[in-house]
Amino acid sequence: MRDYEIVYIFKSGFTPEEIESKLERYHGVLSDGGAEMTAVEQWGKRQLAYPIRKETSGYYVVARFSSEPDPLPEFERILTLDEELLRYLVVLSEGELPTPPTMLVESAGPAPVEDVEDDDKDEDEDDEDHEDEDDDEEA
Amino acid sequence: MSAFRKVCRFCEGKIALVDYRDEHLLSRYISDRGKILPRRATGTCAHHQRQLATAIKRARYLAILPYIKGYHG
Repeated sequence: MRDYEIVYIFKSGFTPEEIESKLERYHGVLSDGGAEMTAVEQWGKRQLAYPIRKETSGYYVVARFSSEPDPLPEFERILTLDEELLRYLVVLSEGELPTPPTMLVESAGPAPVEDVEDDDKDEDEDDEDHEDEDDDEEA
Repeated sequence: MSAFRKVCRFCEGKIALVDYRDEHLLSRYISDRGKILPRRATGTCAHHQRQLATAIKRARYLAILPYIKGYHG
């Protein structure tokens, strides 16, 4: 068994329930192949960095599961058949990572928002300070 | 970004793994055209630079980061 992580990008305009039923169908394929879903996280609607098939925003969902490699080809084949799935990415999961707070924009699903990464924000402020100093020197 | 760092930010922050989903973090390591910044510009260690490159490429595929930034037409 290996741990995998999958990111789906659906066309925007679906309700969380509609997405849920899609996911159930996909994950059913995995479960039938002996996989075990460990987490599903709906990020919600998000602006795409560039248009994909003329869509400018997408509905992001991340899921984790552990599985033997065998059911994956069939799983991915079914994903490619869905016109409403703009893109997906399956990668080996390298351990649980917190959801980046920046990803939870316009979240429509049950958003697991936590007050973490305060340190990060502090670092950012430092960064900006440095940049300002540099600008002064150049001027 | 122009401030040179002697110590890798990821080692300093004890980040074992660079997350490809963290737009905020990754966007600091791409140029204003969207290119991956070299180690000499950011001070990232070799270990984390490799992770970072993979993370940025995954983020690009997922439309979290652009392939090309600031170019229209």
